Formats: sequence, C-alpha cells, structure tokens
Amino acid sequence: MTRRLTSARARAGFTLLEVLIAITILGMIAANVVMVTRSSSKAYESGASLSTLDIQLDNTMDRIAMALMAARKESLTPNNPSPLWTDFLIFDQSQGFEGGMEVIGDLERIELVPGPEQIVWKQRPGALDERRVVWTNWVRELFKDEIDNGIDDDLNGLTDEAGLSFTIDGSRVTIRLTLERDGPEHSILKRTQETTVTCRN
Amino acid sequence: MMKVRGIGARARQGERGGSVLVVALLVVVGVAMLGACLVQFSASMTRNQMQAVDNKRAFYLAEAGLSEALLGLRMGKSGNVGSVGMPARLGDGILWVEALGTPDRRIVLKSNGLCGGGRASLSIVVERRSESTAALGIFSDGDLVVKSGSVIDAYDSTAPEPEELVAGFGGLIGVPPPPPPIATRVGSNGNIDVQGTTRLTTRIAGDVTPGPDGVVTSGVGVTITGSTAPRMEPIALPEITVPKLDSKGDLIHKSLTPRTVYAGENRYDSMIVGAGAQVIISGPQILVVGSMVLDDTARLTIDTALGSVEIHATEYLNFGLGSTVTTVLEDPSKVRFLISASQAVDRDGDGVVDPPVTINSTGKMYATLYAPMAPIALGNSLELFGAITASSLSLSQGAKLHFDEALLSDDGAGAGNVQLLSWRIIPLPDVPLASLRIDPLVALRLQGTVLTKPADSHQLIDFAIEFADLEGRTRTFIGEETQFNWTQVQTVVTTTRRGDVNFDAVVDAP
Repeated sequence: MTRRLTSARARAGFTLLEVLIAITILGMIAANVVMVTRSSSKAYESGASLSTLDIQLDNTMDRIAMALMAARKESLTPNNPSPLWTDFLIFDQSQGFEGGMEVIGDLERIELVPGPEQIVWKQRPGALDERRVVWTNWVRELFKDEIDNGIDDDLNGLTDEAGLSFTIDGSRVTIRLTLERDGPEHSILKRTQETTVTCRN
Repeated sequence: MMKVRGIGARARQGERGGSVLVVALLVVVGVAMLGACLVQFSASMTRNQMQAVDNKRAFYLAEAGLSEALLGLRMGKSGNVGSVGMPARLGDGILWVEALGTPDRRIVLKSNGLCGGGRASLSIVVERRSESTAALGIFSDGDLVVKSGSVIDAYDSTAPEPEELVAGFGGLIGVPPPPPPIATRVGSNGNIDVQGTTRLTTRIAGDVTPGPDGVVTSGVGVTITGSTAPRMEPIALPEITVPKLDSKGDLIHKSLTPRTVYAGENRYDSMIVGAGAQVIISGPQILVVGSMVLDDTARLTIDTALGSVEIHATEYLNFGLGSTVTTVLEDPSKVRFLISASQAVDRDGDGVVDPPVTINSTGKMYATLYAPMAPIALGNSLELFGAITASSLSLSQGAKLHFDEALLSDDGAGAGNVQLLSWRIIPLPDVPLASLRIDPLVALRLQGTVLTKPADSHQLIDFAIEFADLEGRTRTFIGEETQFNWTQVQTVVTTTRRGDVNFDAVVDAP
C-alpha cells in the first residue's frame, strides 16, 4: 500500500478539473481587473480632458478680460449693446502719461476666426508688422446650447450668438465663451463661461 | 510513518508555495504605480488651478491697494500704502502702493498685490482737481466788465494779525519778515474789459486771465499787477447739485421781530424778508429756496458760529436796495450761495423781465457766490470778501472785491477731488518678494515682519523733493523720507522737510 501511494505522489499534478476551475477563476478576476482598469482609464481621460478644457477656458477668459479692463471705453468698436452682439472687438489701451500727454497704445483686436474656430489676438491689425497670437483652438461655433435657427435657445437675450461673443453696455463689456473638445469614446466635452468687465479707462 | 508522510506533503506544498504571492505583489505594485501617477496628475491640475486662483486674488489685492491709496490721497495723505519692506496685509495676501509725482503735477500710483504664488501689479495716473469753484476767484463764464474806480485785491482770512506775529516772537529783537504779497484772481472764459479814468483809477492786485480766445482791454488809470495772458483751456463750470428736500412752504417775514431759521436742512418755496425785517439763518445748515427776496432795507444774518451755511437759490435771488447780508464770522468759506437760477422772468408784472440774480445790498458780505447760469451785476454799495462766479459779471463803478486766498485750501465744499486719468497693468517690480513665487506671508514671517492692515499703513508725509533722475527727467516725491530711493537721484532741485517754513505750501501745491 505504501509503495503505491508513494509512486502516486511522485507523479502528483493538477487534475483537469482543478486547472479548469483555476482558469475560470483567474479569467473572472482578470475580467474584473480589466473592467475596472478600463473604466478608471476612461474616467481619468475624461477628467483630464475636462480639466484641461477648464484651464484653457479660464486662461482665455482671463486674457480677454485683462485686455478689455485696460481698454479705453471710447475706443471699443463695434459698440454693440444687447441684444446685438459681435464676435470681435477692436480697442486700444492707455499706457500712462508722458510729458503731460496721454500715451495711447497700438490698436488691438480680439476676434473669433472661423474654420476651425480660434480666438486670435492681433496687435496693429491689418498693418505690415501685425502681431497675432492664437489664444485657443477649442471654441465652439455657437455659444452654449445655441442652435443656428434664428431663435434664442438659451434665453439670454441673444440670438444665435457665436462661441465667443461680446455685448457692450456703456463701459461694461460682457464676454461669453464656450469651448468644446472631443472626449473619450467620441464624447463631446463642453464648458461655458460668461463674465462682465468694466473698462477702467 | 504518518508523520513522515505529513512532513513530506507539507514539504512538497512548500516547494510549490509563494508563486501567487509574487503575482499578487506585481499586481499591487502596478496598481500602486497607476495610483501614484493619478495622484501626481491631480496634484498638477490642482496646482495649476490654485495658481490661477492666486493670480486672481493678487489682482484684486492690487486693486484694493489702489483704492486705499486713492482714499488716502483724498484725505490728504501721500498715497503711499505700506512699502516693499513692510507691506500691508489683507486677508491671505499682502499689498503695497508707491506714489510718485510727475513733472506735470500728476500722481502715479503703482500697486502690487501678492497672494500665495500669485502676483499682480497695476498702475494708475491721477490728478488732483479742485472742485472748489471759489478757487476761481472773481470769474465770469462770459465776458467780464470792471468799471472805473473799482478795487479788486486779495487777502488771507487765516493769516495772523501783525500784532500776533510780534507777540509770537516773544519780544525778541527784530521784526519778522513781511508775508509774501497775496494775489487776487480775476478771470473769464471770454474777454475782460477793465475800465478806468485818470480820476477814477481801477486797481487789480493780481492776475487777470481771459479765455483762450479772449483779450484784456484796459484804459488809462488801470493798474494790473499780475499777468494778463489768456488761459490755455476754457474752464468748465460744474453744475450745482441741489439737495432733494421736502418743502416747508413759503417763509414770508415782515415783522420787525427777528425770525430764526434753525440749523439743519430746510427747504422753502420762497423766502421773502420784508423791509426792515430780519431773518437769522443758523448754521450748520443747508437751505434750499425757490426764490429769495430781501426787500429794501431787509436784513439777512447768517450765524456760522456753530457751522457753515449753504444756501441754494433755484429760481430767483433779489437783494434789494439797502438790504444787508451780514455774517457772524468773517470767514467766507463758511457761507456759500449756490445759485442755479437761470431764467429772466417778469416777476413784478411791469413788462420788464427781471434777471435771475440782483444784488443791491450794502455793507460788507463775507461769502462765496456761485451762479454759473446767471448774469450778475454787482453794485458798489456792497463790499464782497470771498469769491464770486457768474455766467457773466459786471462790476459797477467803485466796486470793491477782496478775494480770500484761504479759499484755495478750504472753500467749505469738502476735500479736493482726485480724478483717475489712466489705468493699466504693469510688469512686476524687480524685488525678491515678487520674483520668488513663495507665499509672501511665510517669507515675511520668517523675517519677523509685523504686518498691519492697509488703513493703518498709509505712509506719512514728512519730506518733499524735486529732482532729476538718472535719465534726466524731472520728478517729485512727497512722502516718508525713509521710503525715498536716493539711488534714482542724479541732481536735486529742491528739498523740504516737515518743519520747514515752505513745507505746507510745497505739499499742498496743485
């Protein structure tokens, strides 16, 4: 009896049933791990994209706001009060005083350039030595939930306003901006911001 | 036997044991690395967002600094708030503001705000503009006519009497130097005609300044001690803001018993003081009347012992022949007539329109009169101490007007106005506190600096200097001498310190 048991143990391994069970369990665990990893990865990508979009929106809005705060209100062109809106603004800024005279800076222009929508800042627009900087590429064609249908879809008093739009009320400029980019799995991520600044000059 | 089998079995299990542990460890390490990456990414995003938040807060701190500095300027302070070595603390950040004078007598305020890693610097240019209409002196928006025999000069109601000066010297040998001559101000936005004859000479002790396109014409017997050059720009006369008060009806007083209008804010549709009657207006008071009429020989007494009196006449003002307007104190800054009347209307039904303002009083009157929309013809029976402004002004033969120079610093209208001319964002200053992106509160705490709030951080004015900087530009600095950077000075034009005779004049100069 002992000799038979010893040789059986010397040849010990896994039975087919044990292997099948182990593989099944491993497979289930692996599947769960993959599912968790995939959903985490998706969440991470989505979060990262949204975060990047938020930062881009904040930075762009801050740049526009700072430029307009220092603008001279009488230089704002076109001067469109609500419900009229414009997707570009031309202005100049005060650079202080020199020799008793106010020094005015070069003309500047912030505009929404179509196809693909970009916000471009230009200094000395139209001149040979024009400077231009692209502030963002992710601008939505229309603001927020607007659809190009001639109706004020978002009930803000403006009709079919562009992804970047300005309305002017005296020395106050309201800036509306919507950024949009592709998210994971062909989703669309969108962020909107609206702010009003006062021209200090 | 059993034991040997058991030991063997356990030994064979031991040889195969531990492989799952390795796999498990690998999985745990992998997951931990993923987690670490995620944490790092989140931290980076958070840092970016905190930086953006800190920048915004620094911007608003800089704006708060500008507001505090402007308030200081309006209160007569230097405009300097804190300093780079000892800034003011507001919330979780710090700020300081530098005030610099410019050659064209404007003030540049540079405000710096720091919060966490955020930094912002803003600059504004401001100008002191006196809202004081009394500072205009004798002024006409249109043409000004001064008839022969008139005297227009100036005095200072706050200057001590000569006897007081000698007594103040404690009887020391020697006489104090005479004070500098005081010049009157006569001006218009149009022409000025100063008439005189050899028998009736006219004397104006000061400048006579016509409008940009105007001229001064003068005849024989006219003496003008100052300049007659035209002004560069016409002066825009500010509108009068009439306080909105509820009317108490009409005040008609014809009794010989004096009637007092007590201190406070009062409004009447009309105030008529009959012949020989007396009305006393007690200060402090704001009095608004539609029409104010002093019949011939009526008396109006303005008691400013307890406070100033401001009288608004919105439709009509008529001081009849022989009427008197007397003030308890001989201080023109305490009595202001603000006349917004402008329409000439036939008020007595004689078919002749009556001008909105008629002054035929006698005696001496210590007051400022401001009637930007009404022509005034001032008779020679009234000797006016103070200032007068009208849409057009005619001084009859033998008129006497004395401009009070003390109105330049206090016309009773309140603090001077500081106008914002320009606002812009400027580069950060080149100082370690701004260039090192560490929390400034931590940095300053390490240095042992005790921070105060902005309202307590205004720098005193004890020093004024006019100098040429390293680039040859003439600049001024008024503030605390310890805050002045002498390394920017190439040559010194003038300096003055608190305690010097001319210090107040230099600091208060527009």
